[in-house]
Amino acid sequence: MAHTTESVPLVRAMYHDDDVLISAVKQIRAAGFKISEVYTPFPVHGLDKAMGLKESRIAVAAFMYGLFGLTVAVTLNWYIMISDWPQNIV
Amino acid sequence: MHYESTERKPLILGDKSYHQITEDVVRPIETAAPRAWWIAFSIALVMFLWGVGSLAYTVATGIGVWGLNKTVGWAWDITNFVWWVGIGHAGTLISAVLLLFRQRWRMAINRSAEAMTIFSVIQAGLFPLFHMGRVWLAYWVFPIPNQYGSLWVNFNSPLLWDVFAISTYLTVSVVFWYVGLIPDFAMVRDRAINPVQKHIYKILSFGWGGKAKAWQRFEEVSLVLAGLATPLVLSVHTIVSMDFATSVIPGWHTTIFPPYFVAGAIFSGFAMVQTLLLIVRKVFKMEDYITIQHIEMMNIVIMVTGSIVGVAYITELFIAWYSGVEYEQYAFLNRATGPYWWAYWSMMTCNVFSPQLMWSKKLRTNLVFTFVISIVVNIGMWFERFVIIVTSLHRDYLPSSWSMFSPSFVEVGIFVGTIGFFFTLFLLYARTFPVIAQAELKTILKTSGEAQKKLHNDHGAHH
Repeated sequence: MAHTTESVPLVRAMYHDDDVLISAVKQIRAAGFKISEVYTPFPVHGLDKAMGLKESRIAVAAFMYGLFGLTVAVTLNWYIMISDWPQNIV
Repeated sequence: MHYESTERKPLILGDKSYHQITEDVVRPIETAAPRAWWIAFSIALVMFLWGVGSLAYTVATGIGVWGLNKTVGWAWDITNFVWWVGIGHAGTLISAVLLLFRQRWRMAINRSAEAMTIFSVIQAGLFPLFHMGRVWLAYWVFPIPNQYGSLWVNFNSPLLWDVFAISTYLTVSVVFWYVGLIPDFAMVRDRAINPVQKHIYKILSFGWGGKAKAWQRFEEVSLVLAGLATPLVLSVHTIVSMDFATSVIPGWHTTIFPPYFVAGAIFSGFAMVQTLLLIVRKVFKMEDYITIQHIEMMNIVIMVTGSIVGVAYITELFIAWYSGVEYEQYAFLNRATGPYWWAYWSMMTCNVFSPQLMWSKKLRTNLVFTFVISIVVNIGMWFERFVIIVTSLHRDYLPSSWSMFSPSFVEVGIFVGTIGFFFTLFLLYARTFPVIAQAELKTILKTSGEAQKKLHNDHGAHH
């Protein structure tokens, strides 16, 4: 980390099997190397954890958007049906 | 890596490599269309054009050209609307509910089932749109500020809930389908030789590169969208059923409608998936991916939902008698023995009797039998909606208003047109989109591939 002036070698590797890839990723990280990117043709389960990728917060975001949408819907309904144009149907 | 029990049958037959899966999925896109495709496409296009003509006539002249009268003010239009919306439900169930339940047999069929959902919801939307008469004012169904004394849409009406239910359904289905398609479009892009084709797929795939982080996001978004789509499987047809259940027409005003409609929707939807996939697997030689086991699983769903529908029919009859309400009793007696008895008994035969044959393993694994039943079920489900709508309306509370309904050639033309439009879209999809979610399918090759399973079993279960 501190040796920024030294030239850091860039190594590219190709694997033909997803299980070999995962164990390689684990070993390379354990040896102290940084993995900048992994490309795969299909999702490999557990690869993000093996690489140490941060978890996505999209589920939380989706829930917040949902709450926002619900608030808009309820407010609009109240405004239309009760406040702006109440129907005298009793 | 986890291995699957030997008791579980392989989901991918033959000795397939990852590359072979790519080749098999992309073949319909990269090769010229077979003659059968052109014949089917021409027929569908002619039907579609007939529908366009009928719609143009309707808009130009007014909905008086339909066979409706003042007693039966709703007939083929709403029947066809409910029929098409119902068909869409299987796609959502397969892609969302089966994803949450980790059903791996979903992977070979979800792409086409979702396509079917989107195309059938488009057909469904046409009917209420054109029944409005003045289609150019269709935007009035949305709550938008206007100059008519701030006159709003009426949120007390289930017809308005329908607007929101159907538009939400279409939006979520399209997004879910498209997100799944991105990596597969990228696969087609990477293989494309024709520069125009390459460019189109490049735009469609949003610059997908297959980075680990992108896959992580992809899987998370799929899960979130599945969570959003799951309530829609239940809510959309519940709201469609409320179009009827909230009114005071005998035969409509029942609390059983929501679950009964949802079961019927899944029932008819799976039948349509069968019809389409039996053709797709044959024409595009995908028998190794859409296996007999997949067909059997779907037949079991058809059998279960068909039985639920059967129980609902019998419950309706019992409750009509038990309620002690004369009008309710007459409505059901009239359905079975009145002038539309043939529609009622067609419905009973197709929906209650025919799926019971699926108890036989020999029959539910027979492709010709499955194909015939899938069509029979969809005819039956069309009759179900016709029976509910027309037989309840044609005997009004006032006997002097009693009348019959028969469709005009324009209504028939519109219905045939939507079938043509549906198949036009599906046939175009089958030639330009990867019809199997190949990226997803590759994740189960090692555990569920026939050759891979055999290799593993021969070498013992250690890893």
